[in-house]
Amino acid sequence: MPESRTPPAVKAVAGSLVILLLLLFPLFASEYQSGLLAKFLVFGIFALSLDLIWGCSGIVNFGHAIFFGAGAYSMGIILKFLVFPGATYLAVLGGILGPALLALGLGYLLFYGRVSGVFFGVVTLALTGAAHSIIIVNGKITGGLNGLYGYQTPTLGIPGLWDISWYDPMVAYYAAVLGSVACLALARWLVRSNFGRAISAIKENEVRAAFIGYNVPQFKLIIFTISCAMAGLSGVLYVPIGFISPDLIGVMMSASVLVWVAVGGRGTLIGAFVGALVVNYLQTMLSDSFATLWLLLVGMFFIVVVLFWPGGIVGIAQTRWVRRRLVAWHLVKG
Amino acid sequence: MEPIVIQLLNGLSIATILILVSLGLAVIFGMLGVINLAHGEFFMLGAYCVATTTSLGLSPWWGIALAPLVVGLVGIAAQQTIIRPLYRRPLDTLLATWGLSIVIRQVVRLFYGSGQMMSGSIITGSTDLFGINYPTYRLFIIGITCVVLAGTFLLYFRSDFGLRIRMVIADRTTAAALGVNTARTDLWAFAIAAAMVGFAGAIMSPLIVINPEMGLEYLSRAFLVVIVGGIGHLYGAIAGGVAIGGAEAALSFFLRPVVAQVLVVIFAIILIRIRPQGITGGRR
Repeated sequence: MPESRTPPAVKAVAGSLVILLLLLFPLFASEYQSGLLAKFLVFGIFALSLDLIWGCSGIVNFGHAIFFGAGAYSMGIILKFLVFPGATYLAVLGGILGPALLALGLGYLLFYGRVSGVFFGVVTLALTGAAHSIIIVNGKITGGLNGLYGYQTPTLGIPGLWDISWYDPMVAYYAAVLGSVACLALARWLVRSNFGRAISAIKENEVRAAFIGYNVPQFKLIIFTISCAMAGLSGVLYVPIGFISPDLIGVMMSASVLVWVAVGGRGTLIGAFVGALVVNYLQTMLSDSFATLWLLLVGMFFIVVVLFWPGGIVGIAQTRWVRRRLVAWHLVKG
Repeated sequence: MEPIVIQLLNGLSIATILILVSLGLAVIFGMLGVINLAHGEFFMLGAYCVATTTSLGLSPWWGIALAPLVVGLVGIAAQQTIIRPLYRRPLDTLLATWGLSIVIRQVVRLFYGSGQMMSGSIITGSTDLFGINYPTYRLFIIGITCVVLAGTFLLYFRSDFGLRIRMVIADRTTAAALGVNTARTDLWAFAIAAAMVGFAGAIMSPLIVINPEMGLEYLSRAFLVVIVGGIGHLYGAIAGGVAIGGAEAALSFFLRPVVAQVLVVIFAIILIRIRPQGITGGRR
């Protein structure tokens, strides 16, 4: 991550403003709008988790939706089979640990097998198809093609004393906001820590990082597991907002999250949220009538972004030209 | 005895198709280092060529003849516009061709809709083989794949063009210094790979469901074949094809085909952990 030259004070003020806006949003927006925003924020967390491994560590995961779906399904299945007050907390934990364990096993096989770079992308792509089939074949547990339903309502609060339904739109919204802020803070801390620097060194040059003495597969395994746990959390937060269906694990979901991160700006963390918000907002506006055409445009746009515009939206904001404008308007110091 | 022989033949026909799909991929991915995630969509386009000629009332043979040409041209266009500018940026090639695969899928959807297409049946009936009835068309596929395979090996090891490809693979800079037009060699290698996978899609079309999503399954299997077989050698694709195809046929003897395919992916990943260089070895 390049050191940003924006003064910390400006960043702090901008960050607080955004958080304040998010907290007050339901006051002046309709229930539908805040529901949409909650969904986009959840997708933002999902995109952020991909950015952690793709943008910051250089590991392309074409099957990231596996972990999003695994989170959602773990939560749903636990809620279905454990029927007692407070099971929601167990379900949330399961929704995070399930994908993390999956990532640990898969990552052990792949990273210690020295599968890296493009090979990793290819293998995860193959896995997406397999994961989708597993969900459909095990219809008794996962509900198969119809999706998972009939689980008890997830409740937060103090079990038995003060139950609040997670299905309440406001609860779901604030859970999404809290999750987003927490995950972004965690990701920033992680990237700036010594561990993050080592990861960044591995991204730049694996061989040299190994020469300096870093255990490359171990570092990759750790960041991959963290990222997938975060993807699982986004899946958990998605449960009260959407349906648990095999589509969550499918190829399109993995595809979409790559697009969000690429459009927002790889390796910028905040770009994941920007991309998820922008692309999903446009999709909601346009796609209802032109689903096929929309995907076609997304595909073309993705090619253009990869070919000519690797920095994405946040990358533009960081270019010299925009920076000079900002300096000229006394918004940031030169 | 009879079920075993039939299963062997099934394995052989899956393996031959996988080899046909992955052979081009083995050259452009394993050796020239170009990753093409639209490879599965090229397969799909080949099948749509046959479906189109069928729906126009022509013989499916026209579709099979046209498919390598059409898909080869698509391949040339893709190589020139998307892949060449990203030379030496393998990760970006991966992403861009993956965008291309979405574009091809959606264009097909715009023209043909999302539903299934039918391809006319070409050779019907079954042949008596050592006292066992086996569909003639599957035998035809095995036969024609062997012919294409032999042609590819001749092209690769016995022709000037093959020599140039092998030079570029061995050392691009030296090859260029010796007067090989590396850009043109890349282009033709890519075009031939695309034509071959288009042909594979065309001859498979009577046996499988034709829809815009069909390419992905073959893409991931083809990459598994190349990685499991070992990249860096043409034999790798054959070894990988036999391993994956054989495993699939053997497992679907006991299990549902979907379960068998999932298990094959898992086996492949474990195999990569145990033997990262693939079955045939070679560099990685």
